[in-house]
Amino acid sequence: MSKFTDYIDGFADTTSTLAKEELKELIISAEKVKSEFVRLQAENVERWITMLATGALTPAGFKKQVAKLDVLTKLETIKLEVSAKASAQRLADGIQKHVIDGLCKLL
Amino acid sequence: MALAKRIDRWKYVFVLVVCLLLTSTWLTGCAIPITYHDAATYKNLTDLKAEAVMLVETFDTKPFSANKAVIADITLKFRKAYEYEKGKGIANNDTLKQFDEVWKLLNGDITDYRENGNATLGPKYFREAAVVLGQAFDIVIATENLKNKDK
Repeated sequence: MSKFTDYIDGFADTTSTLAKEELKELIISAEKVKSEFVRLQAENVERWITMLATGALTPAGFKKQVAKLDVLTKLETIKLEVSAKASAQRLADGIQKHVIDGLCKLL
Repeated sequence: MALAKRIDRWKYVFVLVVCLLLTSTWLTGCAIPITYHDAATYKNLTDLKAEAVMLVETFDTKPFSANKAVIADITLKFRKAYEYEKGKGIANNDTLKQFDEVWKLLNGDITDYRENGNATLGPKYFREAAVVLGQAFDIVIATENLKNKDK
């Protein structure tokens, strides 16, 4: 058992707010995902939970770090949008070069 | 004779449809708001990443007064890089938005450092803040690298 799972299992949760098994499954399965971004975020969360368990992060520090995942997600979303736009731009540039300036001039 | 005419008509329709598709793709392409890859942006980002991450890593151990000058220096450098991106206009909005987000992260770390240090957040809080900041810069650098090289 890792420190991460030990901490989650040992967490005192009298109100049953925390779905322990689901949380562990979420992190463990995300670490196996092919997307580097998703894997990295799962590793971040696991490391921070371990740091919370050892006192390297306080609950306030842990919450602040987790809130930063939202910023990383926004950055990744923009990256994916740029990737799509760049593909469309490559196609448009190709049409200009090979079809409009090339083929059409020969017709 | 009638069959030949019919084939000619289909050829004409086919060529017309292909031309329309190509033209619409080309026109859409012309309207895509995206800039080309910029070596200066890439250099600014990699330089800023190294300096900002190294700075935030010291926040767990150094007092704010000892880092005041370095913080002022990186703030100026970031502002210069931001203005460079802003100057490229609306086609560069994606990169500008990313600069905004990274600045919010860095500025948030500086504010936490100035106000509390790591006393309320944990003895290794800023070490982790530096990791996240580095990851944020990596995404922006990768985004710049996805852009096409100018013709």
